[in-house]
Amino acid sequence: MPAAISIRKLAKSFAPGKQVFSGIDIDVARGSLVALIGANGAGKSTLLRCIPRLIEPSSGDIDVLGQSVTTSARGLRQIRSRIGFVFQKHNLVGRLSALTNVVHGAQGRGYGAAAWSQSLAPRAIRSQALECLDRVGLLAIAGQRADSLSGGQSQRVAIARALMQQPDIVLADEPAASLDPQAGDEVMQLFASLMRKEKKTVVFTSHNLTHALQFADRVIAIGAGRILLDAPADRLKEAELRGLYV
Amino acid sequence: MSDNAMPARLERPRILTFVLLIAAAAFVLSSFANSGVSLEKLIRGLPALGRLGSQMFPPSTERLEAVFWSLLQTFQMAVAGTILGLALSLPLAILAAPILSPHPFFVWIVRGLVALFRTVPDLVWAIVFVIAVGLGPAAGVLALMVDTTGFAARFFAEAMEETDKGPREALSALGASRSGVIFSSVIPQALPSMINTSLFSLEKATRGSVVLGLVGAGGIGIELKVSLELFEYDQAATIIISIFLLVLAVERASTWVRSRVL
Ligand SMILES: Nc1ncnc2c1ncn2[C@@H]1O[C@H](COP(=O)(O)OP(=O)(O)OP(=O)(O)O)[C@@H](O)[C@H]1O
Ligand SMILES: [Mg+2]
Repeated sequence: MPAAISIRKLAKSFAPGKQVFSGIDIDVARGSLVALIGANGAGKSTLLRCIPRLIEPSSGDIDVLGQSVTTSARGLRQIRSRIGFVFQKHNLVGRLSALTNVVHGAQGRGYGAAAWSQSLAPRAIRSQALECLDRVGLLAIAGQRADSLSGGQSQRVAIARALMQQPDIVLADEPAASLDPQAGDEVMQLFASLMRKEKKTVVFTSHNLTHALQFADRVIAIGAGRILLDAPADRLKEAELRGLYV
Repeated sequence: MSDNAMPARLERPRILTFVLLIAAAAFVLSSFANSGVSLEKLIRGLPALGRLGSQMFPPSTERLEAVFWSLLQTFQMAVAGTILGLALSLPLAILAAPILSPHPFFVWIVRGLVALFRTVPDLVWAIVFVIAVGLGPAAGVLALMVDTTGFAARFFAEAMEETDKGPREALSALGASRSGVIFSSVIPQALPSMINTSLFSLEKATRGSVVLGLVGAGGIGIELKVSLELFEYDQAATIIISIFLLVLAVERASTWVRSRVL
């Protein structure tokens, strides 16, 4: 069985001579949770965004679920629809309800205009969206506007939106970083347990080494434009990882 | 810190800046000289103004009903023109906003077109459409449509352009189509500003619709023109007051809607 994500010789530079990273090779096995760590500016977000081509890589190949990530608009949309992306800043549409934001998740699944708003959505989509909100414990606030929610609630709605895609892969860029420690722990706990239960393949970035070791199967550290460390989480110690930042 | 190390309080104007300032001042002075406004002229005009005022008073109530119907027609022209203009503005704004446009080529073409709509005065559009479709309110509606588009398409595009990038990116990341991104992220975010622009468009079209009759494009303007040409100043006064009330009512209503919606 091919890896869920297969990255070969990936390189990205935003300006000539200023390479963020190069020669990155990573295979992510299906159903595994990978933590991507590294100092500020190491290129974690860039690497994560290259996978669904939110950023165009400079060179290299990326296969997702055995398919090359193409540049054809239709093919790209089809691959993107199978990848949930959770951002550091939840990126919900503030003026719309939590439920509508979750319904949006169905847009990649061929629902198009029917998933623009919960009021247009067919019954099946609305009930799926409610179920996703239920899984993140927010059924009660389905009708509330997204901009009235707390940071932790917003991030849980964003996770529900990703679940609504019924993706095979979920990428999360510092999903807990803008939350207070308590809410951050809760969101990561919820995120990791949902992902494990649904056997999703996950790559998340984090500056929280405890989270990386606690929730991931495998930790990959990047720095100086390359992979510094790639090891199973249960063989690593926090102190060891700390050494990578100096 | 020594005194020389302090930055100067005022920058010494550069020579070019200085020359430009002098030129601008000269132009302002010549503007007054050439248009021939003077206090003396104004004072000499005062008696005539007074005479006009007394002839307007009391306003005539003779043709109140006819005035009412033509005022209604004027407002209906404004409403129809605004709605058509707004409907046209939405797709044009999408094409004119670089973040949404399918190609930079459309951005330039559409921006040019919208600028043309905006810079040509509505009265000129009215004359153009009177020639095209003949005398009457249809020409007025088309003129107001074009004028509204010139105004609203620009502000719609700006409102869309200013929306938060995050939700847009989230939508594209999950495989949404371009129209999906526009209708589920961009427009919901731009909506308050777009409603505001739409209300301003209606106010603007109402004011604009009043004079279109002067060139035969329908509405109350023709009534005003006829009464002025026949020296029926009391009649003209009625029309001017009714126009004032209409514009005021529309502005009030639009303020009220704004406070409720936004
Ligand atoms: N759009 C961009 N244009 C130019 N340079 C960029 C862009 N995005 C990122 N960079 C640069 O690429 C490098 C890697 O940035 P990236 O955001 O991927 O780092 P990161 O590891 O996610 O950092 P952080 O921990 O702060 O989130 C940085 O030097 C950054 O300045
Ligand atoms: Mg980052």
